[in-house]
Amino acid sequence: VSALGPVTCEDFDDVVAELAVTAIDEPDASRYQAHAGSCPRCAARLAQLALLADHLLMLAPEAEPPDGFDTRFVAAMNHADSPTRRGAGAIRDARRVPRRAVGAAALGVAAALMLGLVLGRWVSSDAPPAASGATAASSAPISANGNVIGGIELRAHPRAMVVITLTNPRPGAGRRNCQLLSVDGTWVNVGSWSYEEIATGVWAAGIAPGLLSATRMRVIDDSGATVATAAMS
Amino acid sequence: MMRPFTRLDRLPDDALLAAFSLGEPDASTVFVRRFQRKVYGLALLIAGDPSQAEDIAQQSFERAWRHGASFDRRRGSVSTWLLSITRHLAIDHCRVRRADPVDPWSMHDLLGPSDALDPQREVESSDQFSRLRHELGALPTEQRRAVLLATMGGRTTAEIARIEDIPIGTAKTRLRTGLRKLRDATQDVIR
Repeated sequence: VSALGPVTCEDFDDVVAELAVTAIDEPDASRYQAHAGSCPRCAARLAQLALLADHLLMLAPEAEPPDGFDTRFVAAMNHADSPTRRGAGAIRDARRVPRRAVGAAALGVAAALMLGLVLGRWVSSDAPPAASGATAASSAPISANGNVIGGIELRAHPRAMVVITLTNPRPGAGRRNCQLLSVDGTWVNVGSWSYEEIATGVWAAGIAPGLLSATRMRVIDDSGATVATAAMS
Repeated sequence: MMRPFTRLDRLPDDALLAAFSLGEPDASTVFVRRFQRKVYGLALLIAGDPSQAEDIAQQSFERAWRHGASFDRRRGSVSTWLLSITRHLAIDHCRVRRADPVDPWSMHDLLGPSDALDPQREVESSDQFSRLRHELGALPTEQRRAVLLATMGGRTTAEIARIEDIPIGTAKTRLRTGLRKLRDATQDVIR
């Protein structure tokens, strides 16, 4: 089977179990994987057995890690600081990081998620590193037609971001564009969403650190009309 | 003072992973605490050494943090995704170090009949995993050993052949037959 000829589906069937549990060595593994990449039938068989293999791992016995594993890891993670520094090995060795209390931080996005939320996508995956230390730079209720429909929070940690939680979203067609008023008086687009995307919860987006000092937020519809506003505290 | 994590504790796994991947400190602590016994347990089973297991567990959580956004719950649970990461890291770790990983006999608890298991654990398990555990226990011993050595032990079929003192073709057959039986017996609950 390991001859250099092209892999057939029959060949694949002979090794699919080994492939699914990575019990096959290179270079054969790559040859068979390449076949699966171009053969839906074999790819499906491989996926089925790989899923089973993953589930078998749940039967492994649990064990208590060394005392303080969790706090050391999170401390090291915080030290690594931002998604832009998340290269391989960003957390070098959490065991060398002095044990310290997890920093106090607002529940923020995580708390918002509790409301049964959909997390909006990041509109800027390469945003600069977050300002250190601070959590919520500012926050404000969001109003529409005199009614509070949710809240906005500008957060500096773990990266500069805007988090919008709508507790009472208003149905509407088209997209809503979120803009922040920067300190130089210009409105900056930070992203957009549709009603369907945000109706059940929260939307978050990375922003430039300079926008953490934005003084106002507005939501405009496709026609340019302002449909909601917030004034930062 | 320990911060109250009560509300975060109630987050479903995928929502907690989303917050963890954003680096939310409190959510990260809850996430690690929720899965660390599983992750460390599997790493320890494969590596057989507490120090290496801690390294592997740490790398597993780091990888989950960096790649949490790519998690797709349609393809499995957070637990299976995270343990799959752990398994691959542990196997790489052991192969690079040419370590002699898990003692096949250390998996003895998993080789017993399903009715010998801790009843509390059974209660806590989903039907899916109870069923899988039962079907695993129902396999002939030599097939069960081949499956466990390959999945949790990270062994290749050549290594299984050496450990079991059997021809490599026999090792392949045992693994293939065992996995296919398990697949056929659980395909209504594992999809």
